[in-house]
Amino acid sequence: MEVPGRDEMNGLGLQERDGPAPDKSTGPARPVQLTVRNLVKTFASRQEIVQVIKDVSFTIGQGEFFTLLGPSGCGKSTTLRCIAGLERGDRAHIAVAGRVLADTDTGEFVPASDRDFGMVFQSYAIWPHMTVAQNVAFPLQANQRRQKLSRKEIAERVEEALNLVRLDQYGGRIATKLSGGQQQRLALARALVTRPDLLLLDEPLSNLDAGLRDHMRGELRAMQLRTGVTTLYVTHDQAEAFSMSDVIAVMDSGVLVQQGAPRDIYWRPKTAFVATFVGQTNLLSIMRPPVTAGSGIVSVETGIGSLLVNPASDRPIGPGDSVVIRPEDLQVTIEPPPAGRANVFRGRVRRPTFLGENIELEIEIGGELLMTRQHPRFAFGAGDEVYVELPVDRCVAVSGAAAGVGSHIRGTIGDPATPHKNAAQ
Amino acid sequence: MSADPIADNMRRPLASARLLTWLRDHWISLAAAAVLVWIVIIPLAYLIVFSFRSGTAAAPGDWTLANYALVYTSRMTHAALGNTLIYTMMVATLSMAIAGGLAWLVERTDMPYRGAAWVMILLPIAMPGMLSSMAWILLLGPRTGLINVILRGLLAPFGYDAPSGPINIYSMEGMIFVESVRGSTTLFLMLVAGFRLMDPALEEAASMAGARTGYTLRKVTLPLMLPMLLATWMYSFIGTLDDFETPLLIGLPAQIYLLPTVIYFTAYLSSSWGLAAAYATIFLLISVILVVVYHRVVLRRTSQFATVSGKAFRPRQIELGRMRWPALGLVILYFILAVMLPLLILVLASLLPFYRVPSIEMFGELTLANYQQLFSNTRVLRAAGNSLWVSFWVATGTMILAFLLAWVIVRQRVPGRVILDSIAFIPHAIPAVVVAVAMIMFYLSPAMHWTGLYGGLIVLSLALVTRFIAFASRTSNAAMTQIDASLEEAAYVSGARKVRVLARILFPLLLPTFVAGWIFVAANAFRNLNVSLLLSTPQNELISVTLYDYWERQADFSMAATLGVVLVVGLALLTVLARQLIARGYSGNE
Repeated sequence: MEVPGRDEMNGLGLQERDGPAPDKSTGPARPVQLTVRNLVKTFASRQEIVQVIKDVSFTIGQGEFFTLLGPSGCGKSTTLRCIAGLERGDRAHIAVAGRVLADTDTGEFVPASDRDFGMVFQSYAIWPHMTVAQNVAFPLQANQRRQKLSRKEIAERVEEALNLVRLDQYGGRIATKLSGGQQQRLALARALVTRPDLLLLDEPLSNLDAGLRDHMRGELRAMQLRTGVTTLYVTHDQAEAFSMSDVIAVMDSGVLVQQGAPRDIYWRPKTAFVATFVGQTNLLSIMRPPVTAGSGIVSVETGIGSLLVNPASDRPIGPGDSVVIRPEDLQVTIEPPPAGRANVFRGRVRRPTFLGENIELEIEIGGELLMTRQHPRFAFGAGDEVYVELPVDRCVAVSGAAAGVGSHIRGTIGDPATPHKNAAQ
Repeated sequence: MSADPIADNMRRPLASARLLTWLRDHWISLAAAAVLVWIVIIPLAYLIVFSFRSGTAAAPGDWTLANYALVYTSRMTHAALGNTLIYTMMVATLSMAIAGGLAWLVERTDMPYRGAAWVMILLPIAMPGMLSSMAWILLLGPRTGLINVILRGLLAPFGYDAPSGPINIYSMEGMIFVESVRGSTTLFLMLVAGFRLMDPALEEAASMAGARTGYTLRKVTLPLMLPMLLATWMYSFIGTLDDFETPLLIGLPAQIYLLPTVIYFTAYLSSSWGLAAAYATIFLLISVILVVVYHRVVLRRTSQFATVSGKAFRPRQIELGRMRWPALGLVILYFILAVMLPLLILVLASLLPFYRVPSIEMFGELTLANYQQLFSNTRVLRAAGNSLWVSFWVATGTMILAFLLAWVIVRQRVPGRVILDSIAFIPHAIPAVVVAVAMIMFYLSPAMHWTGLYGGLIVLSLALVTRFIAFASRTSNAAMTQIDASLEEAAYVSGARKVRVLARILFPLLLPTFVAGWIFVAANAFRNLNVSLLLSTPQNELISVTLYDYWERQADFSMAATLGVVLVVGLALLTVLARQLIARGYSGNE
């Protein structure tokens, strides 16, 4: 996995003096299309009872591209399946465009077949005994009880949907004879052919190879903008989430941890988990309760010394919590920076790795290792003494410390912070 | 919070309305479950209850233990138990030995013409048990058996002048021989599968450690295969326990009673239904215990064994050297005993105007008159029509029920589906004779007698569905598991309801399995004797019963042989047709 889109880093360049500003693309508030309230889901096996979703609530605005992002087993796919009607929540209130689909208090439950959604499955679920056109026609035929269509109208709608995904040449072909990317587009055409109220995408790109995946990312987003369909996307891949979403909701262990625009999630993580799950990051443990340093900024004690930081939320932070700073935000210089700058430390370059487009450095400061990326023309060598500035507006105090292994930088470089990349959902 | 939506729903107000909704959502599951309970649980329960009552099936009397007391004190019981034990153990062991040897030769050695050997070993499947017993009686009957006649001729110069013998098929040894040769084919397939699962590296490691072929075989291969061999042996034991045709055709004339024939005898020939029910209950108990042990202990232990790695290997082949051709000779000998000789004597018998001791002269009298007579005999034609009707509906009904059950068991999250799965498997442990007796009693009982179904083809068909549902349910479950759940879910999300999803998505996807299972069930229903002999009446005779009647009651061996030959040819054609259909079905889906 690559570091979150370079486009965003360029975008950052324009806004650099403003610091991590709120995402401009969010736009005005949209009318609510999907409401999920108090979703709880438990799976019971003979051995144990697992609560996979613990009280999740969120809304999606009309026409919005909303992504549930999280490691495998975090409950994101189950959330999607509850919305689709393929699972029943133990407790849930789910409504789309004002129509209640599931409410455990009133006992209402609309089965999947009557929800009028489109869905793309991770495996695509292309029916192997049908042709491409038959696959796309199926939802129209199955919906005859709601919307009566003539044979000719069905053919036209199928044609239109296949056009949309550029598969119009393949209508008569047996569906399994298509390539992976084509099957994926076919699944999309089938999901969109009824012009659904909501499009559900369950890790649709994870079975494609890397190049095709990047390409389909762009196609998918373009398609969504063109049709304006409200979309719920589930993935464990941060690059997919960042590049396509209007809103990202990060899930962990059945809990929705943070919801926001992509840039907010990246630069303003609320917890150490979010920080480490999206992109590489440096985490510094906070040792003592912080001291207020005016205008929302606090001073905390870390392994490299005293730091001025922004608290991520109103929740008080203290020992056991961490400071987050992205590797690309560190300012590394040979000469000392101008006097009066905060958060400046002397450090020693440990391991410079030339990667072409940038140079990766591990810098040791007071026994802690910080990881950074700098312009490749800086010729740092191992053992060089450098000045490192941690810009105050880029240091975020988040709750929690680094969890699992390899999810943050601790003396290792070049191991991107996506431990779950290959895990099957 | 409970994970059980139904229990949750029940607790809330408007329970009756909720129940109605639930029924509407799950009527397919409920219907399938109801049919299954009707054909499996109710007749068995009635059989067990009836074994504790006096009177007749149509008019049950008081509660009593007399039936069991009679079973316990009867000399026949002890003899039957002893005979059954000897018979099943010997057949299981002998057919294991034959199948094991053949499987080893075909799979693990460089014997020539292994492809042809495969066909020779598998062909006996087309031979119904009844016919192979008849053929061997014609070959080894003490007086008129062809082989005995030849042997007597050969032995005459040495002073052998007895009018019968030297070999008597009507003996325990004869039964064991006929059934072992015939029963090896299924075991052969199981053992070949077992051989293929063995990791060749285990043997190669032994030879790298310096072990010779024979030593490796004894110290590595055999111990590794032992759990699998034991499981196969027990499978064969259970299957032989259920065997009815050899004990009926060879055992009964020799007055060697086994459990199935005792039940047949008490129920049908002496009409002691209460006693038959008690025997059947005991037989059922024994069989169920064995099946449970087999699945709980033997199969589980086997699956834990390290040789089963889930991959199919092609293990190293052992070079037979000079023994290559003698090895092929053994396979050919097996083929001669299992297929060639029985078929030849049946064809010969069918060409004789009436059957008598074979001689050279009679080759001049060969005629096709029997066939002509057969195809113009209204009784035979009607029985054939009945058999076709029954096979068609039994196969269709069994497979549809199995398909729906698989869907409920594998996919529907209704409570009790595990129980449903177990019920569908119970018939696997019910001996055929027990199914037949239970069905008779249930449909003769005051509760069901008014329907007039007893003695009709419908009850016969239901009994056969019960007989085959375990097999059909297992294969359908396995096939259903293979189908990715998202294919079905995609259809629901597309707006399709359950009936449409079943008809348009799951049924087409499962069609190859459905067709294969259909043909298997149809062929087996067509040739079935153990259920139909008890359940058929002169008005609704099946072709297998007609065949038995020609043989046993009319002692018209030539007619029986003629009908037998036609049956074998028909079944062989059906099998070929099946293979073609299945091959086409699969290629259409890939």
